[in-house]
Amino acid sequence: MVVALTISLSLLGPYTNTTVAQEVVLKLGMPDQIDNFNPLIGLFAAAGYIRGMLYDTLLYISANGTYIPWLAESYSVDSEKLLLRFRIRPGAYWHDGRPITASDVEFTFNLVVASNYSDKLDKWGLRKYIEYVKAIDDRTVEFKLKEPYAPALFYIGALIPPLPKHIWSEVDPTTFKNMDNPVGSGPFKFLKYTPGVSIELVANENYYRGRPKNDRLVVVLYKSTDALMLDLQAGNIDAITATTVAPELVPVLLRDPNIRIVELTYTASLRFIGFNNDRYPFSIREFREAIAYAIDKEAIVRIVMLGYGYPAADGWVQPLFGTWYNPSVGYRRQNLTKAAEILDKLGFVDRDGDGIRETPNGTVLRFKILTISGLAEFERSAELVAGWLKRIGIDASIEAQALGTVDQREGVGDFDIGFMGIGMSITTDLDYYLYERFHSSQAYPLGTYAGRNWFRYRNPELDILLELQRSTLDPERRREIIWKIQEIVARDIPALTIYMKTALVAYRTERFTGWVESEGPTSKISILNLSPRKPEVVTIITQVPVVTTVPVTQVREVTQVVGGTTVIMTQTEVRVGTLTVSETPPQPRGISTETLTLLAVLLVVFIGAIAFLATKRR
Amino acid sequence: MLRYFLLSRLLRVFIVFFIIVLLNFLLPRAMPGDPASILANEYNLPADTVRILRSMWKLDRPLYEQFFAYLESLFTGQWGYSYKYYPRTVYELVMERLPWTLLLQGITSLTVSGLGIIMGILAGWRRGSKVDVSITVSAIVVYAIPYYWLALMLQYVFGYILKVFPVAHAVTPGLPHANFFEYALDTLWHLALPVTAVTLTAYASYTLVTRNSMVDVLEEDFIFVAKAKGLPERVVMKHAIRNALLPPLTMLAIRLGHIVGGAVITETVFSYPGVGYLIYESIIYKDYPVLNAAFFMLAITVIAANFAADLLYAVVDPRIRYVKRG
Repeated sequence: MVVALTISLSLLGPYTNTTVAQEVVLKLGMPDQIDNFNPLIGLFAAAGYIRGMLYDTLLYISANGTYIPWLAESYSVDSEKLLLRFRIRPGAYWHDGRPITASDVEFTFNLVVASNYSDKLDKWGLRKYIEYVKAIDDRTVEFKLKEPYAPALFYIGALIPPLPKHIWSEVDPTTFKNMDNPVGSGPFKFLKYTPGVSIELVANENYYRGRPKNDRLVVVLYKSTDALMLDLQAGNIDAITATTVAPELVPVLLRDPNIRIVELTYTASLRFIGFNNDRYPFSIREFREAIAYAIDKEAIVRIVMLGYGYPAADGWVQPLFGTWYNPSVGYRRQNLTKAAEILDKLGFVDRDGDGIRETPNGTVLRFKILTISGLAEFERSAELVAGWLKRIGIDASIEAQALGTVDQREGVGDFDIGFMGIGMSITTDLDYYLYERFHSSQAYPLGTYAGRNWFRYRNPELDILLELQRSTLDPERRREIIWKIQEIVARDIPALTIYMKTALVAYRTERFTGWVESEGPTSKISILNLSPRKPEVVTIITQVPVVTTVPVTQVREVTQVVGGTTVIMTQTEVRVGTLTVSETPPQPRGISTETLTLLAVLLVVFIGAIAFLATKRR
Repeated sequence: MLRYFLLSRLLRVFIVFFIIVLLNFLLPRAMPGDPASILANEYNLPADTVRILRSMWKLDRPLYEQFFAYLESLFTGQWGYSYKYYPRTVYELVMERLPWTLLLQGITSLTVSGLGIIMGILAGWRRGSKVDVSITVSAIVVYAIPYYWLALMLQYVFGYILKVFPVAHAVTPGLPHANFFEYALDTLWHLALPVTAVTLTAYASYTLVTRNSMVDVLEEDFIFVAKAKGLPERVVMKHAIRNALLPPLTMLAIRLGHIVGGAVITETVFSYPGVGYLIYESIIYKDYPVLNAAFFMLAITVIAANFAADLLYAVVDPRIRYVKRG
């Protein structure tokens, strides 16, 4: 056994012989979801963060939705909106020292749209729109579209990063996991991946935007949020990424004067209920509207989200999306009398006096709300919804099942009402959220799996608009169409949006300065702007006298500012005074002598106790 | 006779094995939902992506074709690609976790059974005394504590407040180790909390079983005779222990059989790399290839461990002989 243990120990990864001198190490914590570092096939958001650090895109889509020339120093779109040109920044090099050229860009996009692998790589259906990709000279690359396609700039500029031709032309890009030594273009180079523990990146010395000021970026992987948050509180990590802070944890984290919590303005999660539009009586628009009037969106935000969210607009597109959001589309406020009136008018009345209404042909209005088990937020919200439905005479109960089951049942249409959630981000083109969600071509007949339009909503009027917004490149014109789409969705409510869950992230302030909160503390722009704090600053802080007061975490005060503006919950805003201000001791980075002593003492005591018991017989 | 026993046992093992292989294929696929659409749901993937994934993973092929592909993958050892972690191979995913699982599970098996058996022997030997009462009661109390809660408390007290042990992981993230010794120490340091948590919650069953077995043995005539002969207590105890060890050893054998299955809760709470969490994730995401490989592996070790336990009895207890019945 001992031998086996020693062997398995020795198998556990290589240890390096390099001793590292004083390095500036930035540590981020995120969920342990690493699929691969291949930007063409990787799916996971957490691994996507690493891929983003390794590979730069031509454009950087900032938190307010505008495109910043990034790897491209400039770009142009011709008047017919068919020709896109990108000019690559001079002095940009791959991590292995080779220059980044237009032919790399040409190669990458041809791989996606015009190669033997396109079948598997073109996940976005770009082949339908891109006629050709051509490198005009060393630094200029040209994209020709077959027809105007509004999301093109997003896919070409901000989603798919150029890849080094000299490496990718020799691999099968559909099975290349790119985890051994990925060669990218981003601010950090790959150093090491320790499965289940961390990913280590080092600063790219030749980065065209200047070398990052932190020498190493260690991304620590967690399987449980509890451990992640404890490590953040303990100061073992500087920030969290690809995950958010649960509302109930906010006051706990804010007890630490060095932790700041930021609400991300560019992303939030939508929670909604989808109706089975192919099933009576959900096929009746008025019936769906009655349900909409039964639900108190504000109450769910208050009770389930503790205020960290806001009621969602009925038109699917949320205020988050800035000018794309149609401000005249609000949401229906709870009105139980109105809901009851609608049901009465439809002839859905309670005939047998049991408190539950029946349809005109006598079927009892008894439904199930299908949701995912194990997600407290979903189950609590669904229960509130069921409670309100009971008050208007609809008997609804919750059915919480495993993700796979829920997904399958919704897909084939084996449900009445589904309570679900999706993430929304301004950095993604709206087409992504609208077309497949509501276009009737995506609503397959009952029994056939429908991925996103599982509501089975079909409206020819909306179909035309959905197609039109795709081909309209003039932002003003496209905005009008998208506004119209929202009005129709809000009128028909094939699915009812409930609330937006705001994305709260946290970071520690004592080791680094320069966090760019508006872009998100762990965004590329923010990370590049970070610099280590000077030690003197820390000394000054430690001399602040200790004032003991009750830490006040005023949740309400913080959450009243929502929708569009950054809400920053700083110490000064939410606390009356300081609880403790002390110098954070350097974290143990190995076993300290004290620990060893403590261990030894515990061991001796333990063995002693056993020995004592054993010898002291009778 | 031993040969007959071995043959009949082997035959049984093979039958069990084939049933397992079949169930292994059917059970994951009997769960509703398909891997591609689950991922699509989770990561908001466009419909084109789902179609691509399904054809890439041959999920659009008829079931019998999938079954033959599965058999082929099992017996050629080519476990294929994981769906969730595509294009990483199942082999790679399992192998990067298995050593950690063996380390954690190996050590906890030792500590759990060691502590449990020692405590049980002490309690049984001094039945009815204060020692017995305190060991039994404390064992039951600790046993009754929910495991994840105990683990979280350990994390909070030792990891966050006292900061003597790390909250999570198997090694310090981002720490370059100068030599193997340092690396091993770092590993052991990280094992402290998980091992303590598992040991505390699991040792009690060993204690109770050993104690009762010990009490039974002490009632037997040969102990009475031994005492009457005036043998020193140490010698009597040795004889008693040897006879009392059979039940706890059986438990240990069963535990060792599950060793490659990992420990889901421990791995989750302490973010410890291991096979348990991989299996858990694979169930959620219907990652058939990983599930097939993991259960296959698990089936083999469980069968092997039980087989070994049967043989081991004969070694521990010379009275046990395998004879042909009838």
